[in-house]
Amino acid sequence: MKRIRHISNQSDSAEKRLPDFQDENVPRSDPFPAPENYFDELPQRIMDRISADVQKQHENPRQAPLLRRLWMAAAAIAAIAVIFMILKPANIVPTTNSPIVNSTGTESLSVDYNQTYTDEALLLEENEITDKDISAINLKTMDISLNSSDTTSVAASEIIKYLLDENYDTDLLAEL
Amino acid sequence: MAEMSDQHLLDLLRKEETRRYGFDLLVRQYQRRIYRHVRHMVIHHEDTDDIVQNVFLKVWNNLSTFREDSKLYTWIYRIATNEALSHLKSKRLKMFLSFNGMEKQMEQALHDDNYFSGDEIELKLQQAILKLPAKQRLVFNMRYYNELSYDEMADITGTSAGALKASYHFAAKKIEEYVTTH
Repeated sequence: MKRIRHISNQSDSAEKRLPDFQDENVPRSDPFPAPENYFDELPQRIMDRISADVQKQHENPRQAPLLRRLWMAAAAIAAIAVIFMILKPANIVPTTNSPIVNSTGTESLSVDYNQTYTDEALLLEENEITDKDISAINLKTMDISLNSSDTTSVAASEIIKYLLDENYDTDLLAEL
Repeated sequence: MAEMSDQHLLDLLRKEETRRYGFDLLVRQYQRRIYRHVRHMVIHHEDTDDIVQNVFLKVWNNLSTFREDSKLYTWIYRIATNEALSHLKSKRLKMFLSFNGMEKQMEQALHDDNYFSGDEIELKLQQAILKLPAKQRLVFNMRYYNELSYDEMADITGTSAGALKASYHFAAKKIEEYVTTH
């Protein structure tokens, strides 16, 4: 018996022909049958596709997820490092156009301004002033003149400390 | 074929040497219900065939992620439901169809489909069902044709049983209205 009530009498009212949606005991008819033998063949077709997928994976193995994640992490770290290297020299006051001069006054290195900021930063580090160099400076001979509007005197040692803290230009420190 | 318990199937699926055998049994156990569920959603047999195969492939590939806090067949139904709904969505986007355009195309499919076996009133019922929004249609089909309980439907759709009852009630009302006025 079909779930759709009908059909023997075409003069039935429309209500009588309606399916009874609430009646649990009436068997459902399915108007969408599958083609003949479809369900006999489907499991084998699915297994064939699984085998084909496995075969494909063997021929063209994907990178293991863990390895791929490690590569991505390494790439991210490298990108951060490059960005840091590029942005770091922004904190350093640019050097003068004159070549870097060592404490003896002879020209030791010439800065190529086509070099990257990274190279410049490394050069500055090589010319870093040590504590010994600072103690050798005769503070008494120093004459710090300030702007006429500002008459506050500043101790020379404070200026040197400030310059060292700020990683200031080695040329200027050499002059001091 | 006698129905196997989830536990028995899962035991077979977990062991490498019985995995394929267990999976063959699983497909045979659920293929008709999944086919019926998907077919009522997408109407075309060819589309249904593609989706059903994809569903079982996904089951095979994701068995390790199956948590046993739900029944195996509600999990498979959930995959099938998602596949059917995303198929309808992508088809609509691909063909730049509105909801009405999609509904007309599926209605036409009822006439063209060699495998549709319904009589005149069954055809009218299907036309009425196609007028429903996709999710209401899903609820109606699961309840009416697949005879799932509201609790099972709630597990599959992630919606409360109360909301599903209301949805079914509205769907049935709309269908009754359509059938009596056409």
